[in-house]
Amino acid sequence: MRRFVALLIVATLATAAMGLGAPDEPPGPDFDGPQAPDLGASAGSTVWFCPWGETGSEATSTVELMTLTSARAALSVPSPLPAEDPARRAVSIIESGARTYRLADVVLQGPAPVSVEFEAGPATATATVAGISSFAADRCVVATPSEWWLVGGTTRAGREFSMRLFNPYPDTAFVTVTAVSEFGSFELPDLDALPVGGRSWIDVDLTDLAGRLDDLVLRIVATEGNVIPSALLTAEGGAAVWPATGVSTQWFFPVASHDDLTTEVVIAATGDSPVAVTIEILTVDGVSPDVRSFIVDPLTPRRESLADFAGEAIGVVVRSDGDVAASVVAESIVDTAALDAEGGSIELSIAAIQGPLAAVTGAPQEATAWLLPGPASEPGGLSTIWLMNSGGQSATVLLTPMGVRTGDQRKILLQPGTVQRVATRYDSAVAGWLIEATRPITVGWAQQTEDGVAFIGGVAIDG
Amino acid sequence: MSSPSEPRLASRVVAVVVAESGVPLTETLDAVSAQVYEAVTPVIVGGDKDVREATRILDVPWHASFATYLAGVDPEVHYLWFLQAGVIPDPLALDALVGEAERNDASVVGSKLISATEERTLISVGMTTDVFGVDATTFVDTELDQGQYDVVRDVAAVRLVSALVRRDLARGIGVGEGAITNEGTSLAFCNRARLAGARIVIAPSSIVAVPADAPKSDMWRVEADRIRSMITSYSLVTLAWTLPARVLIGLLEGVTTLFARPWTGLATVKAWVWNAGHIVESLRQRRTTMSVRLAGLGDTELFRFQVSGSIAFRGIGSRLMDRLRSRIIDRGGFDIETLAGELRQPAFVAAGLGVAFVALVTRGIISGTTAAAGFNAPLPVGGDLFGAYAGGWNPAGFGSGDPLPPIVGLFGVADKVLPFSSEFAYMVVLVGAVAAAVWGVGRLAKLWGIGAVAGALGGVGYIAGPAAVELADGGLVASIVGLGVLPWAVLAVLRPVPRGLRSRVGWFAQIGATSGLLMFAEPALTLALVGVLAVWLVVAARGWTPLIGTVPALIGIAIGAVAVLPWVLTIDDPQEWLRQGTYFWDISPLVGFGLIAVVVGGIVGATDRLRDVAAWAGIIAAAGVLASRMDVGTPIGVSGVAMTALGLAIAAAVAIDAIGTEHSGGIRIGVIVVGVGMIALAGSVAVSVLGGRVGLPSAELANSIGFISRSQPENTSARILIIGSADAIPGDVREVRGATYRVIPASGMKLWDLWQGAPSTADVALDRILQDMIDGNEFRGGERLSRMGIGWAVVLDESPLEAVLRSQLDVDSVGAGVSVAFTMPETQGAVVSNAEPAWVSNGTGYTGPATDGPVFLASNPHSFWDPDGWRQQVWGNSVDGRTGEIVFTARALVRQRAFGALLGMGVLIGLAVWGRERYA
Repeated sequence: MRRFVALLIVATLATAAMGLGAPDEPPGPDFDGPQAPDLGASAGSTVWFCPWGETGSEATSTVELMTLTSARAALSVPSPLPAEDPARRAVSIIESGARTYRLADVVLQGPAPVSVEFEAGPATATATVAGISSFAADRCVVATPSEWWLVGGTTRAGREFSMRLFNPYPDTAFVTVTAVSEFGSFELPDLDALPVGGRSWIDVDLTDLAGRLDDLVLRIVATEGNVIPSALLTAEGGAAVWPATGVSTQWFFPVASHDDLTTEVVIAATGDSPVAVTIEILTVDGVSPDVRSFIVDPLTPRRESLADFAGEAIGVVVRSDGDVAASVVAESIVDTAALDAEGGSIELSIAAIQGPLAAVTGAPQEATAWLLPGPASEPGGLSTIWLMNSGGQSATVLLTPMGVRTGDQRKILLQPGTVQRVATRYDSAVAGWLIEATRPITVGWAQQTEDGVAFIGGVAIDG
Repeated sequence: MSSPSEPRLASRVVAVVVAESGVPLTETLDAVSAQVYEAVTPVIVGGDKDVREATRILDVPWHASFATYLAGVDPEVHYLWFLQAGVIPDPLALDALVGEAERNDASVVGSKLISATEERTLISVGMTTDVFGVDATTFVDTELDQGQYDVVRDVAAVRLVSALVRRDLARGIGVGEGAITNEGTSLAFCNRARLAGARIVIAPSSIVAVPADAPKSDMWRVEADRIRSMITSYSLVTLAWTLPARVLIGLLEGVTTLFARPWTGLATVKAWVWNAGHIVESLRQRRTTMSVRLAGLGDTELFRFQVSGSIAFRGIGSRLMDRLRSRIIDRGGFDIETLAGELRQPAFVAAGLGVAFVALVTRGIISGTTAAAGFNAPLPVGGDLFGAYAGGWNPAGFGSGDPLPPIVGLFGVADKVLPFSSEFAYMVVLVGAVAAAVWGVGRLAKLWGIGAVAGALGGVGYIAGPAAVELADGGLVASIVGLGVLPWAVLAVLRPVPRGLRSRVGWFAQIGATSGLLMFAEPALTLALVGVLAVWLVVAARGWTPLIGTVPALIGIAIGAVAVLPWVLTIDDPQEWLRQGTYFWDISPLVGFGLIAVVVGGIVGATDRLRDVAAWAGIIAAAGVLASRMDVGTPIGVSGVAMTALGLAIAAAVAIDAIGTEHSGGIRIGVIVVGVGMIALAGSVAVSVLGGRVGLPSAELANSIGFISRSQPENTSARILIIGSADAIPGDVREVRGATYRVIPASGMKLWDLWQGAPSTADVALDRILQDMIDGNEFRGGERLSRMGIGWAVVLDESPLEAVLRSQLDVDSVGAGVSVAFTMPETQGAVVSNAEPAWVSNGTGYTGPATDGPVFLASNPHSFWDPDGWRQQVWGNSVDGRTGEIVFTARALVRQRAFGALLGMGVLIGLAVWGRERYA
């Protein structure tokens, strides 16, 4: 009997014990890696990458820094020699302001991709490249996606297209690049698992690898580490640089035209299925009735010409029902003999086109405050600030020139559905502009020098 | 025997009776008067005022001491006959002594000493000693005097209890003031006499009876005089090796006689202390000896009559065998003829297998180095581990003033007490715990009459079974050590309460001491002890006596908490302590089946005699499993596993004990079921045996950080940020948004690095840096980590923090073989100063080049780092670096408690030993 009672007790305890389930596993990390920094200028420390910097006899670069708070910044240029420390220069901006620095003052070594580290913000940077007969510039970027898109390239006759892969991190990155052209998607064997050493860069001449293509869209995936890709398109008498971007369902191009250039919007569907895309063209008078709608196939980028609007000041809004990457490329107006006499869309001739080039990537969203480092800082050139209001209500925009001192502000009423240009003359005391609006708008600027034209995107202030 | 000699002329003899208080003189004086040899007169030497009064009544001259008497002894006296008060010489004793002295030209002649009982057993027939003065001719087994040693011969020494000494020799070398009952005094005197050219013989025809109640010198005093005899007689060359050798042998005796009585440790210590206190006197005596030493005589003369080797050393082995035999076989007597038979007994085989099993299951610990895994880590080399526990700095992570657990104190004590290295101390504690576990279960089983083999196998299952493997797999070294103590604590509380005050005191103290030791290892296991006692009372106790004994038993367990005084007083809320942490024993189906089979089979298969024991074992096993799966806190979980281990072991032992007995079919079935269960659990045993580390995890962390440790100075103060899952990281971990990490020394983790205190400012600062890096707000996190003394980050297994580190511009990855690792821009260590070289760790403190002013100590702030000039600087400390040392001032109250705890444990152990003999 005692044994039985003991067995009963044991059985009860054992059953109770086995009925207890394992406790829930702790939830684990709520992140899978570093949070991507905001695309815009945010408070706190940020690092901006300007891969297209050059220092040497053939081209020189400047870097325009702008911050709304006292901040120390460090310009860092990796050495082409392995295992050598990057060249660094620390600068300070007391209170808010903007400064222009020559990259050649940091280092002289030819190609000079530069990182700009701000200890505080909001802050951002822009970089220019002035060649013998060319001028290019664009806003610098923060490193975000591990999948980048370079849209707008071409390797047709008369053009040289190269890509720079800049790895500012200590570890070697491994990158795979695939291409999409008018003939569809194809692999680039030389660019499969391409190693890019830590704190270094690689220039890839795509004209050799994928020549004679009207449209060349590049998808860059970092399988290990990360890189910041940028594009360089050159022609006789012109050059354009622009950074790779991520994807979005909308892109805003406040700067989309220049007097002597023909604008094209290049769109790539980045997913697996076709996307429906709408292009709105905004003019100084309002939204153009010429709203373009079409389907973009993932295997074929779409190059939409806006030659109809040649000579007009326009901005472009691209919207789609799926993720796309887009850019605006502006080239010299072609010989009228190439025009299609029957009207309709204009096909650009494959004949060599001389003259300036400009290209810019869009902003994925609108904002009420923008930083524009650079306008009016280039001597001997004309800077134009472009403001675009794609909303339904007018916005009052306050423009504040900043540099070693804050200049006189200007106030502009920006009507809905319009773009406006604000010309700014060179002022040695000004190196950037703060744009504030009562409604979300997008901002960019254009720089014209005797050597060329550049379209540069503005940087929204986050938060 | 020699025939009585003819009376002879001259040779006046004075019988110098050495008196002792309380010892009557009458019989001895009567015996002296009755001597056939006529020319003898008695004198009394020594004693107290009662003796003096007695001598006055007896009209016998009295002298205060030998020196006093010898100074004025009549030159006409030829011989002095030393006699201990109380002895009864035969009427022919003196005559034989004088006769042999004159016949052999001997200066010292000793009598044959026999007991003054009916049997007349032999006590001494001259002394032959080893080089350390231990008498090889001591009669261990009583021998009757049948004249078997009646040969007049030269001997090393004779007992001065009855010895004839030439007067001029005695005057020349002095006698010393030690009691002549003492072998050591006799040896010392004879050695000095021999060096002075004296011949020393034994005259067996001189018979002296020694009463049974004659005073005997204490063991320590005999040893002290032996040591003194070496000091006063040997040359410096001989002393250079004999004294250290005697110390080592004394230590060995002290350890082994813990298990084979009588214990000699205390006597050895007292003997050396006494000699240290009397060294001046000894040196004076040595000078006298050397001054009267005959030319050409030296140590060789003394060695002529000595046996080689060490009698004490040989005695250790035989005492242990005696003890082992009495424990296992309980047979009386020990001789060569039965040894072979006894060695073939299953119990001896089981004991041998037990030793072999312990060696096998701990071979990796004995031969290898320990590495950090779970809550196990090697001891710091040259570090004051006990000091850190006793109010010192807890260096884990960025450090804190929070207390370290008692296991640190236990290892610290072992490290201080044991010789050689810290690794040796670690090995001794762990191997000792495993051996104690196996042995303890056997002893516990023996309490209920379970056989030795069954008990030994139960012990194997206890320390190598699934429950122990569960604890070991988590690196819970404290619990493994606690498992070694638990069966002894259970044995103490379950023993019947003895009769007699002394035995009861011993029993009570034994409970306190074993409970204290249990808490010193793992306080949580006290819950297991109380649990098994409670179940015992309900299931197996009979009558009121066990219940009455429960109260003092519980009080004894509570008193055992004195052992962990510094730690227990830091617990504000016992409930909070009970509920801390999480623990869940995830039992595999196979192990669960095995557990059930062993428990059920044990209950069913137990003989009627052990039925209640089996029920108790089964219930505590099942209750332990339930407690370990309730996830109500780590202490309860761990104690549940320990209860299961013990219950399983006893249940198995009960069933094994039933094997081979004639019993019913039900019992046979039960035994078979246990066998099946043990087969199912064999895998757990295999894990312990194959690894050779009692199931403790191996050195994974060391492999991952070895490249750092090897590239840095051994005592670098730099740190490593370890990233990975909580299971992969040794010790306590911190969390940032669900990802676990911790900071460890670059010199490698030690035991005191495992238990981090509550997060403080430095921890918060590191958390903020990691958060900024995660949020993408920091891209030069390496610099900030460097300022915290972190020179590297190592990723042990998958963690999103790896990608976070890779996103930093100033954090370089390095090829590290088995692990992913990163280096920071700087490796500046925990102390930031402008001086070179860098400051290094020194225990829990730091040393470096003295500075002109304060330095920054990158640890959690605490004013005890520099009580005079400390201030908090940012998240760390600004301390004075002018002395070149940064030392944490231990908190005096905690330190006092810690040493008080040791003293308390010493008292408990002492009382347990004092009361144990009577109890046993």
